[in-house]
Amino acid sequence: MRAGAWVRGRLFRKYFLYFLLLVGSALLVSEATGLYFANRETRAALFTLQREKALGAALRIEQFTKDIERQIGWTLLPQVGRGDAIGQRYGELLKLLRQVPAITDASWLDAGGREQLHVSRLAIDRIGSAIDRSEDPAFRGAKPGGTWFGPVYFLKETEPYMTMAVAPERRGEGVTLAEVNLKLIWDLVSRIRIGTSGYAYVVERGGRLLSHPDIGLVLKQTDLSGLPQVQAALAEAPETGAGSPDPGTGRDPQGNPVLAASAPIPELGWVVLVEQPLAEAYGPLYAAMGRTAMLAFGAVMLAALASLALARHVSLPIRALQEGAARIGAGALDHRLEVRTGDELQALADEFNRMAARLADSYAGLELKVAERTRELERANQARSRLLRAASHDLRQPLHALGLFVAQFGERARDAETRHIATQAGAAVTALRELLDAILDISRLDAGAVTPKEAEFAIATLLDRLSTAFGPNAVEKGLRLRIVPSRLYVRSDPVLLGRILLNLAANALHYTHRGGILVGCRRRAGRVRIEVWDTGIGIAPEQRQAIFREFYQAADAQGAGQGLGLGLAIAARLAALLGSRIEVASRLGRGSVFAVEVPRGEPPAAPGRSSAVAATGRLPEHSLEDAASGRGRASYGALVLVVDDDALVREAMQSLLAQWGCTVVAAATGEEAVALLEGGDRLPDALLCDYRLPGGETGIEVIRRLQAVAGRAIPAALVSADTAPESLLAARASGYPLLSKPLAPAKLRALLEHLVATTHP
Amino acid sequence: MPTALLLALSILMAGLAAPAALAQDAKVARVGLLGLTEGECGNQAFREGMQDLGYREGRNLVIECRHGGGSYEGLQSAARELAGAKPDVIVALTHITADAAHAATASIPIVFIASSDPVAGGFAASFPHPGGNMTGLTYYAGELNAKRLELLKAVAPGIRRVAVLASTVMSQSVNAVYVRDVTAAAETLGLEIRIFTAPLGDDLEPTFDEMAHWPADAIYPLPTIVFAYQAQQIADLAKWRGLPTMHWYKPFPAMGGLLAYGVDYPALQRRAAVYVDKILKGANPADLPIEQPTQYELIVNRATADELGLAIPPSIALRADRIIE
Repeated sequence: MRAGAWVRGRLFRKYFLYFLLLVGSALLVSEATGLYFANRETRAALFTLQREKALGAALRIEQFTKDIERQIGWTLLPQVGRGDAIGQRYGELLKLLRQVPAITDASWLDAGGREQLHVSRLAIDRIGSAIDRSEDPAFRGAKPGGTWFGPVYFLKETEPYMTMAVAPERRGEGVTLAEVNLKLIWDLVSRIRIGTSGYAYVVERGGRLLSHPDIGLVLKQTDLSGLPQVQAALAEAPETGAGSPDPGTGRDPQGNPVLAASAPIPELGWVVLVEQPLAEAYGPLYAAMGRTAMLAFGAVMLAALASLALARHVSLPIRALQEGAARIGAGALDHRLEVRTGDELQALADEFNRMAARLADSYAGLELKVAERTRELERANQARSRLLRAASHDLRQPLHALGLFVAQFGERARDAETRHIATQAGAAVTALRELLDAILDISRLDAGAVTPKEAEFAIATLLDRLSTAFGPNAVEKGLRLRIVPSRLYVRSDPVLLGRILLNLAANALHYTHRGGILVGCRRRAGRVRIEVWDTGIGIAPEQRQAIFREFYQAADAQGAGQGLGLGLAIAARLAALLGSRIEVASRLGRGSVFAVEVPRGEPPAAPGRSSAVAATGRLPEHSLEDAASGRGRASYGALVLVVDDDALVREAMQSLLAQWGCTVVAAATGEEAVALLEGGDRLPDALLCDYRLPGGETGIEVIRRLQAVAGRAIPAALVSADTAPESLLAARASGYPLLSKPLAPAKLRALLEHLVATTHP
Repeated sequence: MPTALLLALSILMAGLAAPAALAQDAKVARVGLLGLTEGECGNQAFREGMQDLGYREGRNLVIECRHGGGSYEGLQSAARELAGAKPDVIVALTHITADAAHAATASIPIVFIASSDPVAGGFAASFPHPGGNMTGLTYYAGELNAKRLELLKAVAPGIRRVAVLASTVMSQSVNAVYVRDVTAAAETLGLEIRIFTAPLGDDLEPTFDEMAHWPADAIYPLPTIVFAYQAQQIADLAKWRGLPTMHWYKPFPAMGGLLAYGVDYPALQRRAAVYVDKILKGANPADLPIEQPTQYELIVNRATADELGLAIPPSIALRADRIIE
């Protein structure tokens, strides 16, 4: 199941990842594409904006210088009156200073280059100083009708200044020089703002800063020629004047990346640069990227959830299919798959369900057939048992009669030859009866009619009986029978265990022709092992299972035809019934040992009647010939009422009992018996009643009716050829002694003695 | 999965919120203002300059002011006291207070407005690289002495002797620089000068008596803040004595004085705030170049000129930024 769960998890994960990958990558690609174009557009827009600012600043600075140029130009207008030319020019220069705050000093040189006028905001004015400044580059540089722009210089190392020299068309008017404080360009430049921290600045040819929102940098004469954007702007702009180069990135003096655009002022050789920190310029872009990333993240999350749902949706029915199939596979054929997806999966589930239904159907059919077969077999078995019982009953009746007749015949024989014939006939009848008994025993065991009744008893009682039973036979065969005495107690069914030992001993005796037989007991951890040793022919290893089969006969040259081949089979079945088994060890030609183990028992605290003895009364009479012992004459002259529907049996009984000195009245039915009893003047001393009588009447009922009629308990016994377990049980339950047909005459006599003794104590 | 989503979002939020939280923690700037008189503590132009830069008093700016109660000695102890309070920056809006602050501390940054040469005064090593704990603005007081005398002479061409008014509340070194410059300018212009030292307070009559006794043709107060406080007295006494006076203090003509040629002082004070801001933001005063103003205004009181019997020549009329009628 764990492996199954793993597999399920894998399928779910796989689908989830597939879906997520598909949707997520589609989302990300689209977002990235959008971002790429947005990025490009934003950059382009930023570049354009900055470039326009730069161009605007350049234009304004140019305008600024043009204005100054024009203002200076006014000072060079031809003088109207010749009277006080110098005084007039002085006034013009003062006006110039007033008009143009950026000019701190202004001079007028005559055509010869001598300074005629110098006005200043700081220093004392000079009038007519005639200082020769003809070698001044400003004087030399000022071409007629044009303006000369001097290089930028720093007054007192901090204030940026530039000299402008304007010469009129006519050379004779001299040249006006003005010292222009470029710090005033600051006003222009500092007004330019890009975003919150973007700014503009101006550098001159050499890369020195001319104007910057931070005057301090200008005053420090900062050289920016090292910055890449300044280098680029200077390299392209001033000489060619080909317009501003494409904006690009650069870095500020602190090394932070900036977005820079530039515009040249060709006339001055200056470059206006507009910069914005890249972080700020791209701030909105980054914010947009951040938003996009967030959205993409959210979208991917949604996609993940959707994938989760989808994967679930897809994998759930498959999981249901798998689990259902597993349950059906495990045998739950009535299980049905619940898949309602309305697609191939549902079709598959339906197929599964159909398959399961078919399987269930055929399985049910099979079970039905098996049950039917079992019932048939049972019926056949019962029929066979019934047949066997019926057959044995029907066989028993004539055999019973035959035994009785042979006994009578033997007693009446006068000559030796006839007596011999009678003896032989008696032996044949005995053999026949034994065979029948053995067959019935097997039948009863197989039918489960025997239930062991456990008791604790001394094993010695059984051993004694063996000695009694086989002692004479052994002597007859010239064998030594040795029974080792034992004080052990066992807990088992004394009757069945006794029967096992009898059979084992009989078997040993049967297959042993010289030497002897030894029976002994061993203690075995809480159990007692009873062993029967012989010095017989032995059993081949391959035969050790076969000997327990019914009617198995070992090939024995000397004792052929002597046994029935049922003794060991019965012993094995009885042992199984007692929860044990017959063990066998053997060497061919040397002998065998059979053993059976039973639980050990405890000896009773006070010595008394042995339970085994008490149990003897329950012994199945027909199988234990020696159960009855002793003879008496109590029965002599007794009146015995025999009820049997078989005329042959009635006649045989009558003549046998009559030989023993009894008076016999016989009845075929219960009615007849009652009539006889009522008509007779003497109550019978004993009742012998067949168990099964015509008209469904049982012997028990007949006995009870007769006793009722008689008004007292007449000793009675049941005689039955019936071996059906239920009949036996009923008979036993009645408490009357039960004799099975065919009856051994000795046994009948012993019983009779016992019954009559009960009547006349 | 939802758990992971929430986690990611919260981390993101925390990341976004962090800079905002940091911004809230902005430090309150402590600026020490040093004044000669109590009135200087209420300087508005500098405060406006700070406001323009985003500072708000009581929120992210505290201005602690100490003043000398109008006396030179008091100023020195006020400067020491202010330095002891260890403000982030000391602002000295006049040369005299800058001098006192300079004497009081060599470590706390000082932003000054110097009316004399800050290099010669020992405030800075050079204009572009002051190199010490002081920086600020200066106007060419020394050179302007000559210019002012020139303009004075232009309005009153007949003058020969100019009484140069000095103050007792001036350091000897600054005084020496002024005297040197004025002497040089007077030589150029062919004028004779004599130094008269005026006491602090409102009794300048004895000094003017001395000038008149010399006899002086005109008066030239040296550019020290003291004479801004005594401007009205000077204007009144000068008019009463009939002496043309050229002052550096722009409101002087409006008070009845004849001439003033000087810088836009409040503009410089506003500009000083920019230096303070830079230093508060971590700039080293040693690297902040000293700025020099470029705008000077000439203001003439025509009524006073008339009273003094002076005609305003065209060159002055052309130059004058304002003529008070």
